[in-house]
Amino acid sequence: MAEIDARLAAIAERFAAQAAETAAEIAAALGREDWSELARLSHSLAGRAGMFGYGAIGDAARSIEEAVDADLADDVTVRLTQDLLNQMAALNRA
Amino acid sequence: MSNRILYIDDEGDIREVAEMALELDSSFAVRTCGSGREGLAAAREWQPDLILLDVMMPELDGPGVLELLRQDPATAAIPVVFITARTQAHEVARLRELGARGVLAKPFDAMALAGQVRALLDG
Repeated sequence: MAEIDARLAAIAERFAAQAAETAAEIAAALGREDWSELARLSHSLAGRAGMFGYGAIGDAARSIEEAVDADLADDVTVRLTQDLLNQMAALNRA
Repeated sequence: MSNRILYIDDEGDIREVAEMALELDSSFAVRTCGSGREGLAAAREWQPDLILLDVMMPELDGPGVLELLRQDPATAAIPVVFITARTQAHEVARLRELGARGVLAKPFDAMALAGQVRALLDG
């Protein structure tokens, strides 16, 4: 079990190290109002974040995906995305 | 006797975790694929005992892969278990109606995945 724990920790570290790049991609999609790309990026992030111990980020990303899918008002999606980006910025500062 | 498990998911990190999680069961032989098309070819060639299939993938999604598997006599009988982040009851029911043997939640518990798959194989 120690080996798998170490390997999982290494993958989680890699995820955290890529957070800034992921956040930039999400911010760019938001800036372009490219909602389908925003949903795709959020879906990918939601699955990975939850897997690697960042459940709150995963939940926030899932909320964005669901908001886009439900065709909620753009300002709702923008607010959710800004919340996510704030959480990811905090991750980068940690 | 070993069981062949094919895991299909476009997320590389998650494939990596799934492979190591499934290999906790020493009777599992595991292969992974990063796309539906690649998974279809692997299923035909390798004849797995079970396919774990991500639902949302670009180009060819999980339900699309399942449909093509069922149309091909070489793969029609292979049990498929969907892996999905969308675990609302109506979504699980929809996936079951497509013919999946089971539906597992994503993210999954790496320490529990092999046991869940064993139960689905034996069920």
